Amino acid sequence: MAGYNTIRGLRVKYLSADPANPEAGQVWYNSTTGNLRVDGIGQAAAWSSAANAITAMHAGQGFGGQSDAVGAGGYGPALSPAYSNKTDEYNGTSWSEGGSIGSARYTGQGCGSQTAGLIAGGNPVSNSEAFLGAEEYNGSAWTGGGTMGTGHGYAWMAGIQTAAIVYTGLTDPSPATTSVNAELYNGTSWAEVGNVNTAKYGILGFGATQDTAVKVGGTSANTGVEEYNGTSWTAVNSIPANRADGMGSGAQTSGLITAGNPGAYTSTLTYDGTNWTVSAATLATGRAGTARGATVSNNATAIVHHSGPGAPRMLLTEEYNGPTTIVKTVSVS
Amino acid sequence: MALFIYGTATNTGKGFFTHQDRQNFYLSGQPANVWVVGNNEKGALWLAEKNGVEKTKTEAQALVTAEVTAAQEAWDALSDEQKAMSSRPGQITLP
Repeated sequence: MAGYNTIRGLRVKYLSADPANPEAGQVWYNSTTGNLRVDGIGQAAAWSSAANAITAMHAGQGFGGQSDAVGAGGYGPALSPAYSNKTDEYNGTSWSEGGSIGSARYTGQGCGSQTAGLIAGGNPVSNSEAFLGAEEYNGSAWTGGGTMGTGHGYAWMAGIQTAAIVYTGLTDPSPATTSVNAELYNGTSWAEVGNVNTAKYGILGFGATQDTAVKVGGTSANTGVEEYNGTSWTAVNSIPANRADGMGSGAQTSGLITAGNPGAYTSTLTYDGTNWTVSAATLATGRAGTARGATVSNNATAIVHHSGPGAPRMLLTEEYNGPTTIVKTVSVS
Repeated sequence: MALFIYGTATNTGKGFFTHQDRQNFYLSGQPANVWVVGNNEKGALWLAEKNGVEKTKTEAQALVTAEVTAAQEAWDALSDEQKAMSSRPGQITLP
């Protein structure tokens, strides 16, 4: 019978205790217990249903994670004059209504947490040009934030309320005018930083901090990905197919995208800082125009909410839970 | 044996389909509360437990097409400014 080192070309590690962070598929011998051990996948990643949102709206602003998501603004099924100033808050189990945004808007960006959230840009009701204003949320009420130097709509924002970055998007939706501009927020004011290389709108993105933002895809027909390092943007590995107006979540070395156009994607891609991987997990309901933004530290969990097209999708929420691994003793009997 | 079961059921939110359900069978939500469910024992049980109403593929396709057509007509009636905010819904062919 072939030995493990013959099959894998590797020797089995001889350890006195199980390693703290074993890799999936790693095999070792625990000399204390006298067992051959393996780290295997306990449960594959999947999207499952979550509580339906309260307010039917999509293409609004979003932030938070699976246990503190917020959907703010957007537009509803009637489209006109259904620009929303509503805020829906999620606690991991159910949605409740929060404070109203000062300026109703859609296609803006969000980041931060439910008790320290930030939205910026988007399109206001009364002005065709992208909004310059930002608003801050404390978990119950919105207050005005700093004014951006350049309008950003259909863009993305990463980081937290007191250290955010907004990048690219539209300065004017009609006719569509894109911008390479990126700006940092310090909780009080905005300052220009290095431009993205390629201006796009309808981008997806993620980034736990303002210095580790990621820009993905966008309109029209774009697979390009750029990473920010605190100073400049660098093109990195592309996604396998065009995607715009979807959802991004996670960090630069542990990111996730799902949903989007064309065709209201169900597929999910994960990112490890270098490579994109098509996840086995797919949304049960394909969608696009999700609430734009999330702030979570990795791609182990995610939530998608306040999506389109069509009224039902505006309420339908799904939660992602990544693969879990379990360590087991190998039985050879 | 057919690959899929078709039915209508209202998504009630959390717990309507679980992480484990997604491991157990194929599931795809479509307009008009139509669900395409992997044709195995667990998929069939899921649809029954959700008080789903089983449809033939033709019936399910008709429901989806009718809803998408209505959405297309609503979109066509929008102003150009409103159309710029979203894409025209595309017809869906069930698997």
